[in-house]
Formats: sequence, C-alpha cells, structure tokens
Amino acid sequence: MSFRFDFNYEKYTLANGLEVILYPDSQKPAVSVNICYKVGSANEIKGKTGFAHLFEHLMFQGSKNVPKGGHFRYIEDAGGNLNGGTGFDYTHYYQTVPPDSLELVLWLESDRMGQLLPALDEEKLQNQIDVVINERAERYDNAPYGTAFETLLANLHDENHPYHSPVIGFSEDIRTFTLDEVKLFFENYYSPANASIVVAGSFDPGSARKLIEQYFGGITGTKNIPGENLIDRKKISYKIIEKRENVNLPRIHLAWRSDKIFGEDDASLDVLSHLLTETKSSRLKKRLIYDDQISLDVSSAQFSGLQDGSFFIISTAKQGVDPQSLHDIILGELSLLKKDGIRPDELSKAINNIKSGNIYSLMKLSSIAQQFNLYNYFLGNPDMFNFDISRYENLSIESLMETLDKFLNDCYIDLRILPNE
Amino acid sequence: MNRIIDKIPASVFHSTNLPVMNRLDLGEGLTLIHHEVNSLPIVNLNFIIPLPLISGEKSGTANITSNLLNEGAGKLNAFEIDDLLESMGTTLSVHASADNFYLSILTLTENLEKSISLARDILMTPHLNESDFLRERERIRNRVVRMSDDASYLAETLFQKIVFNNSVYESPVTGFLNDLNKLTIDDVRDFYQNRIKNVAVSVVSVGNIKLTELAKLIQHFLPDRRISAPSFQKTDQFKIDNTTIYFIKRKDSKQSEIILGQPTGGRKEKRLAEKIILNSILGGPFSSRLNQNLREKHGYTYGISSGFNFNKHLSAWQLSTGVDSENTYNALKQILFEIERLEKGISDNEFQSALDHTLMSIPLQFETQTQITNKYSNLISNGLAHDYFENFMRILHELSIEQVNEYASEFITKKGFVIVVVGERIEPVEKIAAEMGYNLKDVKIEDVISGNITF
Repeated sequence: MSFRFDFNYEKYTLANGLEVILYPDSQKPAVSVNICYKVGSANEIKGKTGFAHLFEHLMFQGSKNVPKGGHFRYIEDAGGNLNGGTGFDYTHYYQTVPPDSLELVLWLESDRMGQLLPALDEEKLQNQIDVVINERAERYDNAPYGTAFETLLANLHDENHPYHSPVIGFSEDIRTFTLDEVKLFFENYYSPANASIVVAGSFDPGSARKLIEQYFGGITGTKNIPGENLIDRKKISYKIIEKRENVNLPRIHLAWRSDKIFGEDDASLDVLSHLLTETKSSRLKKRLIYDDQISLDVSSAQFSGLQDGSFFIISTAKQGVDPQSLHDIILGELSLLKKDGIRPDELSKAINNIKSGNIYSLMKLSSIAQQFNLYNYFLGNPDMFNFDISRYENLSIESLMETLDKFLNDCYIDLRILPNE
Repeated sequence: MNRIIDKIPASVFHSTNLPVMNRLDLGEGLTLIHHEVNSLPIVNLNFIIPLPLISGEKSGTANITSNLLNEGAGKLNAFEIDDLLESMGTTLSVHASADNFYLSILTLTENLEKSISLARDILMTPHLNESDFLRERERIRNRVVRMSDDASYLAETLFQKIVFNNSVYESPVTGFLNDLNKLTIDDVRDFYQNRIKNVAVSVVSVGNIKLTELAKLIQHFLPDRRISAPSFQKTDQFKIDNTTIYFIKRKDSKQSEIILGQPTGGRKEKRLAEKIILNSILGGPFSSRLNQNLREKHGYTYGISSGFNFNKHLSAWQLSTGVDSENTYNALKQILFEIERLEKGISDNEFQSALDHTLMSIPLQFETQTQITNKYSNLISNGLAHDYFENFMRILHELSIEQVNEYASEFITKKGFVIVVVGERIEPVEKIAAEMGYNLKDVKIEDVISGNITF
C-alpha cells in the first residue's frame, strides 16, 4: 500500500496570535470549522476538577450578540451539526455546515471568543452545573463499570499530575464553581493567541481569509497563557484494587504508565495494542475467547496525551469465571511475547490495518479538520498525515520488543470490578 | 474591543444534488446500485438480503447465524479470514437486523477483488460448525447478561417488547435468553439454508471503481440467486398496553431512564413530512422544545430526544432520556406538558426553523462514501423507491404550516403511551401514574432479558 496524502492547505497567523489553517476542497458538499483552544483538564488545580469541561458547556450559553441557545439554533437551522469536546490537553469546538453558512460559523465562533463574558450570568452557570452533574451520572456514575477509568488514573498518577483526575471532574468540585472563576478562566485561556482555527471543505480561500480577519482580527486577549501543570513522574508498583458494583460480570483492568503522544514509543504501543487484542487471531483474543473461552471480551489501548500516556488491557469474565484466571493468562501471554518475540506477519498486518484505518477515518471532513488542528497543536505543523503513517511503517520487531520490555513490566495497576455480594 | 456585529450572516439554501446512483440488474436475484467517487482509493460495499423473521422462529437466530458466517468459510477458518482481512487492510462485518441481513465491506480498491471473493465464500460456503455455535451462543448469553446492567438497554428492550407485542420486532436482535437457551446448530443451519443461501441479494456500493468493472466482479463471484426472500407474516393480534407505566427497579441508580412512545406509521405514510417536522420541533435536534425545557431550563437531564424507530413493517415514535432520580416525576410532567403543547400547534418561526434544518441538513447526510452507501442501503432495506429522497425533499418544499398545524393534534395520539422507567426510586413514578390514570407494573430485570413478559 503506497498511498500518500497530499493536502493542499495554507497556514498563517493573525496579528493577535490566532493560527489559521485553510484547506479548500471543492469536491466536498460542506465546510467544516474546528477551533482548538490549548487548555484542558490538565490546567486545573485540586478541588476544581471539571472546570475546563464545564466551561465548554458555557461556551454554548450565548455571547454578546448571540442569545442563549442561539449557537445551536443558528447552526441547526442552517442544516449543520456542531458540538464541542474537552480533553486533558485541549478543548475543541466544531461545526460542519453547507458551504453558504461559513460566514455564520465564523461570526458565531468569533462572538464567543471575543465577547462571551457580557452574556454569562449566575442562572446559566447553575443550569449548566446541573446538566454536567447529569452528564456525569449518565456517562460514569450510572453506567456499568463507568468509574473504572478515573480509578485507574487516580492510581497511576499522584494528585499533582495533570492527568490524575477525570476530565468531567468530580460532582463535589463541579457544584462549587463561581462566576468569578469562570471569568478568570476565560481571560487566562480563551485568547486568540491560545487558539487555532481550521476551515476545511468547499469554500473560497480568498473570501475566507477576509472573513477571518473581519471577525477575528479585532479580538484581543492575553498572550501570557498559563501552562499545564507539569508531570511528576511517579514510579508506581503493582497494586490490586477490588471494587464491588452493581454489575453481573467481573471485569479486570490492567494499566501501565506509558509514553506521551508522538513520543518515541507511542506508535509501538499502538501496534502492541493491535496485535494483542484487535482481531480474532490477536494474542489475547485468541487465547481468552477462542481457546480457553473464559472471557466475554478483551480490548487494549495506548492512551496518550501531551505530557504522558497510559496503556490499558481490559477484559470481562464470563459468568462463573474467576477474574484471577484472566489476569494470569494476560500476564502469561505478555511473558510469552517477550520470550518468543513478535512474528513478522503480526507486525506487517498490524501496520497495514492501522494505515488503512487512518485513510478510512479521513473520509469525513470534520475528521480532517480535527486532525489538522491536532497535528498543529501536538507537532507544530498541521500537515503531518504522512509523518504519522511513517511512524508505523518504520517500526521494527526489535523496536517493538524494546518498548514491550520498557513499559509492559510488573509495575501496573490491577483494578477488578466485581459484582455486589 | 471595538468590534460591532449586529447582523446575523444569512444562510442560503440551494437545491441539493444528491449522488447519482446507477442501477444494474445482473441476472436473476442480483441487483447492483453504484455511485463512483474517486477522491480516495477505497470502496464501500453492502450486500443486503431481506430477512424478515417469521413469527414463531426463535429470537436471536438471525444474529447468531450472522456471527457464525465469518467464523469459517471456504478453505479458511476464523483466524485465517481475519488474517486475510488484516493483510489487506479491509474491514468486513456481517450483521442482521429484524428486516435484513448485511455483509459490509470497506476496502482499498486494490484489494476489492480479493474482498468480494471472500464475501462470496462467507455467503455461499460457511462452515457453521457446532463447536463455533456453542461458543458463540455462550458468548451471546453472557453479553445479554452484561447488557442487563445497562439501564438504557433494559428500557429499550422492554419498550420494544410492549410496543411491538406479538410481532417479529418485539425481541432484541441478540434474542431473549429463553430462546437462546433453546437454539441449536440445526436451527442455524436451517436458517442459513432457507433464508440466506441463494436468496436474492442487492449490492449497494460507493467508491473509485467503474460500474461496469464492479458489475463484472459481482457477477463472477455471485452468480444468479434464484430464491425470493420469504414474505413478512402479518401478526394476528397486535395488542399494546398503553395504560401502564412499566417500572424496572435497578439498584443504586443515580438516574431514571425513561422511554415513552407509541406505534406510528412507516416511511411510506402520507403524512410523513408533517411528522418529521413536528418531531423535529418537539424532540429532534438540540434546540427542540423538550431539550430546551428539560435540559436548558430545568437541568433535569444531560439530554432528551425523540425520533422514529422505523422498520419495514411496523414502526414506533419514541422519546428517551436519563434524568436525575429526584426529578423523575418533574421530568415526566414536563414531557407530558410539551406533548400537550405540541397539539396546540407550532409558530411560523418554529415551522421555518424545522423545515430549514430538515432540508439543509440533507447534503451533509451524503458527505462520505460510507454515509452514501448506508443511505441507499436503507432504501433497499425498507423497500422504498429509488427516488425516495428526491420525492421527500419535494414534499418538504411544498409543505405549509397550515398542513402541519392541522396534523399536530393527530401526530401523537392521546389514546395512550407505552412508558418504561428504569431506576431506583419508585415513589415519584407512583405519583405520576396515579395522576395520569395509568397502572403501575413492576417488571424484574431477569424477565426483561429472558422475554418472560406477558400482558
């Protein structure tokens, strides 16, 4: 497979620091706008978890010229779709609309970037606190195994680590947020100098440049952006945690500290995840589901951010199966992998699959826009599509084995969610 | 800052050109519908076989059969199939709904021929081994048990059982445990022989290959298929309990999961456009009345939406939400308030917003190859005309607010709702049941997943 991406894009920076990336593609029936603010839960402090995410909700509560509910209403009336998302390291807002509505999107995004605060009040804040508490209930507290991830994070990292707490935060913290804190957060982080905007799809670049200057050029903001909390690389040792919950089947979660995104071992860890659990013939799926038939499912992931990463293996036991046997088999298979090595066909299949998955994921305009922004944020260059693929193409069995020994060792968290007694 | 903007930039609707689908009949029982796109070197393909379950068949039969088809076919076992797919970077999935069986492929064009050859083996020469069957059945049974931890799964399963009572749509595709326990490999082999092998198939594809080249490949690997799919069996008795709130007690719930709905007409119904617009205003997009009320005004929920569960023969309208337990009663009251308010009609602004949203969002639904493939597959799956989307857009363009308001009181009938609540606290539900004049019935989780519900 010799496919190479060739995106004809341009990048420039406005006088106020806003980075602009334009990718015109007249074949697309729409235009997608993605704004990335370089702030996430990694910027929060103890006792204020969930602030970045709550703030994302407030960005949809109206701004000086946009009434509450207006952002959604205008985009939906234009036939578009929209949302936002908050991670550890960044917060992004995205909308895809028919081409004629590009100006509408730029107007809306600029209004909340420049003039959010005049429209914020206590009632909106309290309403969105209630909504976020419900979001937390729906997605975590009331969901089977829903709090496993935050338990793992809390045990992988000490409390000063930027990835110690879940992005959504804890309810007791969320309830305490004040309008003054919201205003300070906006002034600190929602500055054009701390953001980048991607416009991708069917539009005229010349007109887009003018519109972006017209709507964003006059926005001012601080250029002294506070950085993320820095990692304190705690050395962990093996720890078993057992939690009883309202579930029927035991589930085991094994978590190691690993490499940061685009770090030298990040791609190797992706490939290791793939050959452990992605397909029927992957090491753990074959053993647990087909040979021993003791597991309902098994999955793994390299989860990496700006400063740090974690590697997870998760498996649900069938009824009547002791989760210890899942644990022992997973560890046994990792030992076998270290002892016998990785077969060349395992490596080539995994790389092939990751590459094709990369191509398939870029069918959607919003995914292209998002990827431009992420490359720009993490690597300082929006056009790193081919570099990203080459990270996998250049891997060798030797480098994978080094990564395996380096990270998937006996220092891990062993979380078991068990049915209530 | 001195930036002043007092005017909202206008959006202008231009007529939409939907992808042109070319249709070819490739012999008896084999139809190809294709759209050529050359922006990426990939092809999407859906093989669709009509598959209405026949009343009396064990639920879950179609699903387990679809799971087993790629557990070994032709000269390859399950691992070799996966290895081949991985080496090509191809994704291939097989699944069943109540109405259809699907084999879907997403492949690099350079591997299209090999991918279709593999699809042929899966469709024509699956192994269907008993050992694979026993393993898969056990996994599915465990999955159902796992899913029973999930409030939304429980609510949806019970809602379908009630609203589609005594029809092929009453069970989840995975099947009820009672049926899964009785399923045998012979059931699967019979099902495959009579319902899949040699049954007429439609192929919908989008990608960078010419129609004629693709037609040759399909004809080569899938020769004439002569058997028509069995027809849907009409249900003798379709009785729905719409005077009871069904309550599933789920311990330690932080939220109550609510589903409320009733049967409705299908996609071929005359007043479909009115229904789509009214639903859009009530609970469609984020800006809908229900979401503005329950989320943005009261903060009872993270989100609420309503929509249509369209099947080929029987359909339902339903809304669903998870609300904090303390506000179960308040949320239900507001839901009923909004339904009643809708009956009184909609404003000009709301009509125009909903119409704009519905019409102008259509191009975005045809953005990617996968979206286009699935959109046209839906036409086939539901037995709809090839110009369905164009006709629907024309009807929307001609729709007036008077037509919509005239229909507002009929859209959701007051004859009653099927209501399911899953949660911890029963007291507020008792209160609203009494106020509505509804009965309240407790249902056990074990009975929901086993299919032991009687009315």
